[in-house]
Amino acid sequence: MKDNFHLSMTWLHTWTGLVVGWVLFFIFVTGTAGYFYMEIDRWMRPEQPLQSKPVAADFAVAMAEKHLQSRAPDADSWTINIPGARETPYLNVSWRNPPKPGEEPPQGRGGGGRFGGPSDILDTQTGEVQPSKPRETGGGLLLYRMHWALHYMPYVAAAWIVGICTMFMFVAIITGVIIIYKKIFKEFFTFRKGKGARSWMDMHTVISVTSLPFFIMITFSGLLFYLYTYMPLAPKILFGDEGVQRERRFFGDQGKRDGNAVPLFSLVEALKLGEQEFGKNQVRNINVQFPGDSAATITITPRYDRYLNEYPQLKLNGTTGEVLDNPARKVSAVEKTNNVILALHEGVFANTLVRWLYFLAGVLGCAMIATGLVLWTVKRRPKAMKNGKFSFGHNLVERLNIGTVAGLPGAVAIYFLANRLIPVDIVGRREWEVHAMFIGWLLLLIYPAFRSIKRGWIEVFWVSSALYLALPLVNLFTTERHLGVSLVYGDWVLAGIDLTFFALAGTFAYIAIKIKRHPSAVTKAVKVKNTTDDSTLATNEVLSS
Amino acid sequence: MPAECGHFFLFSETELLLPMNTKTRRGTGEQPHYRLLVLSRIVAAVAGGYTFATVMILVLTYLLPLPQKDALMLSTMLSYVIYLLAIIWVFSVKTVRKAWIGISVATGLLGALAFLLHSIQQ
Repeated sequence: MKDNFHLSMTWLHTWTGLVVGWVLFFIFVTGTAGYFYMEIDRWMRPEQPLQSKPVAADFAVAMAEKHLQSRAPDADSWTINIPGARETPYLNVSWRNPPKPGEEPPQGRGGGGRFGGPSDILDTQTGEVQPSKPRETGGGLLLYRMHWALHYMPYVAAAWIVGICTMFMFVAIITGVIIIYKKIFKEFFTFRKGKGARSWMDMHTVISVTSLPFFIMITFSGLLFYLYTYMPLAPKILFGDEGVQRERRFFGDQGKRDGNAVPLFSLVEALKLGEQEFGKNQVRNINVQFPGDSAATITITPRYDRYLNEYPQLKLNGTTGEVLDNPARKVSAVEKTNNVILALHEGVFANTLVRWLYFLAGVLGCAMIATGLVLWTVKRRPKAMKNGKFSFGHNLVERLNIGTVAGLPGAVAIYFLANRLIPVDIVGRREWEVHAMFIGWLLLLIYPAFRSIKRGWIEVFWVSSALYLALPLVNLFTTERHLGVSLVYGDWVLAGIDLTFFALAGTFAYIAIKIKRHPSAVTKAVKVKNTTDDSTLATNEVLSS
Repeated sequence: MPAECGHFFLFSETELLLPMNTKTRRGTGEQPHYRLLVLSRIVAAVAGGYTFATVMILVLTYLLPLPQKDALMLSTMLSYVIYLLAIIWVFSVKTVRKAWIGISVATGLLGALAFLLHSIQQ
């Protein structure tokens, strides 16, 4: 029975979904791309070598240790990445020099590399340093970061905006389930083609239900990343102004030098201890704090695919190799639960197949939001039409939908294009890549205002399609990391990205053609208006959901 | 669907939160308080629900048989679901007045309980 409760839930679903729909679409697009941020990072740094050839871990560590001993004997910290895992495509060594007098020591362990310090990529066969000074770029990490930190604004403000949108999404998803739960199976297996709003509704339902557990998981876990940021009052009342300091997951206390020179414990032996703990070929990374000092410690980290309910690390005394107590591994059941939920969100543990499933679920999320936004307009077109014109509000939603759903993917393509086309030596090119993306998006948001709705959809989808088609081609002419190289070498990460660009170009072209062939929804709507009684429409409107 | 239309009217006598394009608004003209009532309900859901969730965190933290840090973490994790349920509840009751009374009384009682538990623990 369509009762009051059902109507209220429909209202809540419609409006919570609409008001934040465009921001959510942005979050989903950048977050979905983020499942491959490490791969995109490599694509955006074409100066880096192709994937290292496989190498025995102990051989790699011995080579890296020798290199670090001669290259950075006085460093505060060394990090060796052992190639083979997704997150370690190279034999990469990085180090951190002691802070200059008066300089704040950087937070956390680890050498340079990702944190901007010095690093070298070594050839896995010869141990020679490979030329790899990459261009200045935000890479995939910056794109990924936008889905929680947005851009052009303070971090905390962004966290709150994203959090509020996420809560809206949580409400929209659960009310969506409430709306259809009684006939969820019937609705799921129903698709009425070519029936206007009815078909859009069916599509929205099918897409949403297909990946429903993922949507609930991703929304709820998204909120938990900022557990005490969004809910700060209780810890404040319980523990005072300091609240609860969440332990820094990856970064322990750095400790201090003793000043006594003692030779470092053999890193190859340390690797053996790590493999005893985590399994053969499961060690990803060895970090040494204060090498050559009597206070040295060695931290051995396994591959990311072992991260689920804790962040396992083995700590050793850096001179004797004795296993040290690691407080980071003593986590309670509640913390483990929390860790699992966060790990599910990030998918750090995912292998290639599961990673693609994550990507697919993310794409379905984009499609769910997109069909929801379109459904809002399609349902309202008959009534929004007055004297042959739409109201300002309706027009705005129609145009924002085009610029976001069809335009934002194109803007992301512009980000990648800018990475290839902006000269390498320009100052601030990292920021200009981002500017290019947002200027592009702005133009694609404005453009539909000057076109009819149907023309707007078709043309912006064509623009996005053309931009993705251009990417592998521009790559061919501007770098030595194009398909001709990556396919021959067998670097499937780089090749996969170029091939995905082709697939996206094809998808957007297909959608554009589909819309072009579709009888104009707007003219249809006007016909319906002329032949149907107003009140029936109003009831249909409310009750049909 | 005449039966369901009538059904509609029946409830519109109360301060129902109706979707924008309902018979009520069209048939009887725009209710002057309509927008204010919707706004009031939204505030009850967003602010009232948030306060309710926060008070629930306190009560659960005191009651859960766990070390306090774990109890706080678990109840904060649950608080997002509690917030969600509170929002849905506020939008599901018939009148805005009822929603405000319900959320205020529940928050007040839980707040008193939290204060009591806090005093006992001290």
